[in-house]
Amino acid sequence: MAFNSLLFPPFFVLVYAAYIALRRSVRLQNCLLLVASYVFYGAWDWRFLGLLGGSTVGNYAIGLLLGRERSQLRRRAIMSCGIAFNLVLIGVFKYFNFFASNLVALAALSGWHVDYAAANIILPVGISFYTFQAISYIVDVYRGDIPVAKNFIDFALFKSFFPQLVAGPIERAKHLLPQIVRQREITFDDLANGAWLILYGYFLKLYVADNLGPMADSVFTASHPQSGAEALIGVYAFAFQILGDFAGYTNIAIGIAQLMGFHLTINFLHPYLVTNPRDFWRNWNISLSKWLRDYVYIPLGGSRGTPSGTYRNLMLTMLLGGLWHGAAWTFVLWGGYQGALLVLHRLANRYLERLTMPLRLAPAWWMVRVVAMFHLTCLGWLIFRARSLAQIGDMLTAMATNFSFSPAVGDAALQLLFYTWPIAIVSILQMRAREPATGLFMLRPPARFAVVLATYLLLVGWGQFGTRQFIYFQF
Amino acid sequence: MPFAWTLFPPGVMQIARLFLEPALIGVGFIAARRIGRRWRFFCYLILTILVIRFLLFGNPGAWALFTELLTPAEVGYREYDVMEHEQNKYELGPPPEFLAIGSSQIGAIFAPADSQRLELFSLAGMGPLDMELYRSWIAGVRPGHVILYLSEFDIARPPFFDVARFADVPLIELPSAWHALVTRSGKTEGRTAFFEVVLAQLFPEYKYSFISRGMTHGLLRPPEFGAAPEQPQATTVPILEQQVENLKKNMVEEPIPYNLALVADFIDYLHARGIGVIIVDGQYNPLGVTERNAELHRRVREALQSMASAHHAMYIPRDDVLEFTEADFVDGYHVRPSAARRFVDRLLRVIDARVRDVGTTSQNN
Repeated sequence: MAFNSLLFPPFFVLVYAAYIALRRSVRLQNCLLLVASYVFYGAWDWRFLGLLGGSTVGNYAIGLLLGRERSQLRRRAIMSCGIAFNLVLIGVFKYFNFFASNLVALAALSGWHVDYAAANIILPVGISFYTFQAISYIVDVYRGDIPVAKNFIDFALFKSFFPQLVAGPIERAKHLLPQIVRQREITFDDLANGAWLILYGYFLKLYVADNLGPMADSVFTASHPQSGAEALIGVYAFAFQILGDFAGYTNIAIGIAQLMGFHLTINFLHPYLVTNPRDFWRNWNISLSKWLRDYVYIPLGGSRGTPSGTYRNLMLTMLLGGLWHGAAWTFVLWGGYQGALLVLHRLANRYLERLTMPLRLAPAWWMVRVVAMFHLTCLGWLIFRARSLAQIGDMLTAMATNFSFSPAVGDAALQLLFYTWPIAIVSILQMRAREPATGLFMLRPPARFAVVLATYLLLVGWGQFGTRQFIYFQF
Repeated sequence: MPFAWTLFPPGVMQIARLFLEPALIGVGFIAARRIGRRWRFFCYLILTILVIRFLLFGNPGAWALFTELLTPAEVGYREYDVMEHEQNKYELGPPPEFLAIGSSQIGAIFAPADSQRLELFSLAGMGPLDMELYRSWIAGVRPGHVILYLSEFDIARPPFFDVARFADVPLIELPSAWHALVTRSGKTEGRTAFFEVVLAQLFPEYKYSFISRGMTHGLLRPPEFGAAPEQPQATTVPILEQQVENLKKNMVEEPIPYNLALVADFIDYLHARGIGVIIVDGQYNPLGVTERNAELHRRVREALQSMASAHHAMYIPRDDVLEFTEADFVDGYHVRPSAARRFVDRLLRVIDARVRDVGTTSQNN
């Protein structure tokens, strides 16, 4: 069941009422949350429950084995098996057809003809998120960063906690498990922050993403060539659609968890108000970036070796990050593009900074860099959203050679402005706040009051209360 | 407060709300000053939302303004009728002898009649589901009789679940809405519609969001990207031909049991409140009659006749009043005002005669 489905509010109200009623017993609360999480996940397709349950039991057992074993060699072997177990799960359910069809195509190029019909495998919602979460648990236990989870209910809840189960944030065991085990307190700040995050999350999803979605779709699914201006507007629309969609989901998730006394990792800050690719990844899908940093980039050697080794590690990490998003070459290409941006930034940054030293404090220069970075990000989104490599070429060609304006472009630009200006305001607030996640709470009460009221009125007045799926569910 | 509609006429309740709501909100603001600073923020927020609700949706002036500023093309036909209904809720007057209920088809027949005995409640596309959802408001009007103009046109078409959320469903009536939308239909769309109804009752801003969308219609209309190269303009299909085509292909058997069950529930509800029901055999342009439609008409007519006798309602077949010809229609569904006046005039005479007969029979018995 998605957060924007009409079933979710009554579901959550019931769960929350029971949760508050059981406030004296953390064990009962955890049992309740576990059952609720399985109901929540099973509402998509009850067959997925077997996979979630199997993954939970498997990772729990691997954790116990790691805890018992003293020999470093054997512990390493168990950890490798654990990682392999999770990679096989995600590999079968997410990448099997992709790799098989590419191998068949490769074999055909070499003259071998293999008969292959794509297997009918349904992609279980959120598998990439809970698999990565499990891998981090196993690696952390192996490294001795966290103790083994002995209580099965606690571990199963860590693996399936419904607010963040299907689209993150990807939580570390070090951060979430202690909150599951101990008695949770719900403070006034939790309620206020949680309520705001839920409201703003729904706003991002229903007002921003779902209103801009059709505009982006009309460009990316058009059967005939468009003008460059139309293509550009479509890419802008998608840039804000994906931000609204994904940031909206994780804000709701964090808000719901906070209402229950949990504090999840903040996943989005102000990714379109940054001046370089490194800062983009510090503001976009933060939990994934940190996961990739800690479990791929650093184990590969990080920046400890030669510069060329660092560039290689960056590229490999981002290629994997791209593939994590989906089984398609466009995602791999997107990962490669992000890796290339990071490498280029690392290469050129020192020279650029020296060159532009006199402009460093000028707001106009900051604006120029933000606009430039936003367009580099948009180029990434074009690669990400395109249906094929050919479409990427077509749209880029149109932008370069046929940049003509039409009345439809003017209409679309106005709409884009209408649906995105609130994001700009909140992003600026977040950027200026000492605690960026709670930018709103640095405002004086009347301004805070106006922001909350305006968010509510825009949401109910112009929100799309349909059930357009969250984009990140497919990852 | 909406449940009180069943105790007082809707007009009285609406006028009372005009005074009570601001007073209660004012009391709320005074009370909020006494609570802790942290919670006061939430109280003020909720009270401000209530003030905005009152200004936008809780007074006849706002509705008059909306109906003046917006057009059906900008908000939708049902939505426009909903706005007019909201405005009409504030009218005061004695209970009518007859209240004709139904879609714009009924509107076209009963609106031109200048009979003092008759009032009209019509919404674009109104069907048996809407009758059930609006039933407490209808009963609140306290008519002597409700006139339903029904045929296969209404009974053999799927219900419009997507507009259910616009209905006046007091919270106390939610179980009956669940019954009509979910239990009776057994459809997922019915369940979704029920949740939308609940949401709409709790958040009128959501229910009436078509107004904000209508106001920004010019700015926010979907852009037509990638328009195909200039092509010769397709000839516009005349509305009559289009509607006749719809009549020929849109009627289906599947929703008949569901719609009939809803009509039966509606009759029982009104009957329990002392309101009589008169079912009039509905008609549409004879150009839309096919062999299949004629068969559907026979089935629906028989079912309505037997329902009327089982549920203490009156059934009036078309041949007792008058049969419309093609010339009586302006399009596929709606009759000309002259034909409408003729029809209503005869209908009222038929009803009077029937009522007299029933009176005489019961006296003789």
